[in-house]
Amino acid sequence: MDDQELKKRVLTVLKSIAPEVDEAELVSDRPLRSQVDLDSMDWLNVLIGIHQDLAIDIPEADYAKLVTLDDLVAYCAKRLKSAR
Amino acid sequence: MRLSYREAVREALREALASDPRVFLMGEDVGKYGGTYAVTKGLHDEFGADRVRDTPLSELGFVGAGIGAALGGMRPIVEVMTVNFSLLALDPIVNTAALYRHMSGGQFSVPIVIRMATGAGRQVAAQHSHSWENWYAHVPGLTVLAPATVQDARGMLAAALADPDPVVIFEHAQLYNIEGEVTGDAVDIRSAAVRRPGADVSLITYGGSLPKAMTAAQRLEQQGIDAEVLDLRVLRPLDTLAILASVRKCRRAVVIDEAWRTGSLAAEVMARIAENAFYDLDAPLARVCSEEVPMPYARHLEEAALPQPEKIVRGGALAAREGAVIEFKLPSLGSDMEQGKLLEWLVKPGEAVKRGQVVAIVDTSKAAVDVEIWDTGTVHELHVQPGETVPVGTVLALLLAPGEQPPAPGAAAPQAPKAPAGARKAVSPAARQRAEALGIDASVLAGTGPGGAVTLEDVEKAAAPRAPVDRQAEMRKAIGAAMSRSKREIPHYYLCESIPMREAQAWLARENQARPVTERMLMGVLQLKAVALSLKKFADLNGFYRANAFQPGEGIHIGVAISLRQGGLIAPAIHDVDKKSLPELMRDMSDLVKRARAGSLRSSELSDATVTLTNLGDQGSEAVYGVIYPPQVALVAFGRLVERPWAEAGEVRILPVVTASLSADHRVTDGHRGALFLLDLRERLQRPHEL
Repeated sequence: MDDQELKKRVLTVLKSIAPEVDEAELVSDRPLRSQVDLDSMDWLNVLIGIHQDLAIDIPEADYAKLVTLDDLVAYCAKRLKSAR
Repeated sequence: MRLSYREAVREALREALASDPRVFLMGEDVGKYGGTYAVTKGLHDEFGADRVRDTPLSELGFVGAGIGAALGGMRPIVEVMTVNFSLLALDPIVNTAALYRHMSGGQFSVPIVIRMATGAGRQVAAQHSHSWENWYAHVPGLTVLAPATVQDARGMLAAALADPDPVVIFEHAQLYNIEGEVTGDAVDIRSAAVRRPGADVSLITYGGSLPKAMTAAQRLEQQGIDAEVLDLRVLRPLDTLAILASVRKCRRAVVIDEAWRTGSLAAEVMARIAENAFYDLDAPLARVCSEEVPMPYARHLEEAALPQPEKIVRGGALAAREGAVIEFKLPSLGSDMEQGKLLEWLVKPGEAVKRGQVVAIVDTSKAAVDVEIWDTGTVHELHVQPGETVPVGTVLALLLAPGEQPPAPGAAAPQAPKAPAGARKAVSPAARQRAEALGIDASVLAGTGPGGAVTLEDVEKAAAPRAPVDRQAEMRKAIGAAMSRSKREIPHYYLCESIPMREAQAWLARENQARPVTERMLMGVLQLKAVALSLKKFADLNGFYRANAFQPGEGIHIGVAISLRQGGLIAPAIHDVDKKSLPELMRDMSDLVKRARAGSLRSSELSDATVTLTNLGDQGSEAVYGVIYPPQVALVAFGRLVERPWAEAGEVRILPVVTASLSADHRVTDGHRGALFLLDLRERLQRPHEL
């Protein structure tokens, strides 16, 4: 899976939680949660969605690394690669 | 002296013939044959053909002749074989006998007595079995009697003959064989009589239905219902005061009338009760009448068509007992809900339902809600159809309590709650129902109705303003109304407490480390549980303020404020939070948030919350001071977890800190109590392993 495909999958998960998200307006290298209204429950649901779609379990300790959409996609890519 | 009804009428006739030479009898077969019902048997031989006269088969002719004789100074007693045939003589009775005193300017009166058999029950089919008492009772100028006891059969005739104006006497053909004691006491023809005193329901009847009502009263007694039986006796003029006295005593009434219900005497009695004793009623009026068909010949059909003790028992029980027919009303799913749109019924008539079962889906301004039913029984009728929008409190359906049969069409009487004994503020039934739905105590409102009665309008005025159409605007308005009511009625006080969360945070991190992402817990769940445990200790913050008093909650059901993506806010309840483990609460919360946003909550979740919790989470402000959701008495709120310099024992450290705040109702608790609650909460959050 290339990064474009992965980003698409992550966005799909994000939009299932926050349907109002407009990809065109989302700046992928700026903090995600300042652009999208995600409370802690929503954020947890995003992570659960990623887990279900990509089989990646993101530990709580790694939350701090996941600030932007790019961070999230890069993190997932790395985890997927290491899993292979 | 013990006589049959037939003998009592005969004795009365004999006495009249013997004591007054102006009296004579006239009618079809009253002479040689002795009367169709053998009432006049022997009188022809005793008094001769001049005074007991057989007539041709012409009611118009011999009733007219009787009126002429009365005008000429005689005291004729005219027998019409049955009321069915009397319609042929309706013109002379109504247009002549009843009118002459008026038409002659008081110069003439018509002192005639017209006797006739009435009623059904003997398989003599439709042309011989009807009841037309109400037609005669409609006419000013007539006195209409319905002796239902042997004593009345014996005594009413003399009083009727003494009346200078026309009197019509109805003898129900089913009564001729009953027996009873006769005393020499005078009998009046002005009053009704209580045949059986009672306290729970008034069975109001006359004529042939009296024995049936007495039987029904006995059976009701076996069910623990104390029925009063009122015998009208005089159908014109009706003894309104006796009717009202009985109804005011029992607060419920069933009128039993063998005639067809439409335009019946039963309807007149009910109208008088509604006019004069409306605010004394605890249940809708009910009646048991004959089915609206020509009286059938076949015995089983005739019996089915007539009022029977079983039908009266059912009517009486429905009127008197709570819960025989249960109204399922649109519940208020929060104080900000004014109306709801029924989207779908999940049950149909005849289906058994259990308490707690989801029976309908209703769209409130906030969500499509699965509405649960609060009673067990059988669905009888659905009153609101999918697509209809109705106000809170509207009866959506009628249920029959377990073991109840569907009421007969003549006896449909949905129950109304029994009012407490003692002083009684007049509140119209419509107002009472609406006030209950809105959680308003109607008895404290100023009434603008007759006699200061509280009307529906008064209740509406006291409630929040109505909501319009647009869904977003509607929710805004609903929240506005509830919050305005809160700020208007509830004297809020606010307290806050900063709580160091290092232990809680560390404990949660450890817990979550071992958990897959799907089972991970949020800080909000620890806070939820801690609040529940503190509320258990401070029960006066958990419950409702209604009717000027605090009502403790029956469990700790915490309404969790959830913001909706499209804007707006909803606070559905998590039930019994104090009894659930943290993982259970996490599952509940996650499920609730999902369903709140998908718009599929259950009615109990929207109506049961005993307190509200607002959690701004990691994206919110540092502290929040919420508005209490009436009729609750407290709201607990947590702000964002922030790192702060924290001084403790002379040292400053950087710690994660959350600000917990309490908004509470000063009518129920004071600041001191609130402060103790927050300290308790703070202690609990610092010992997360105990949660």
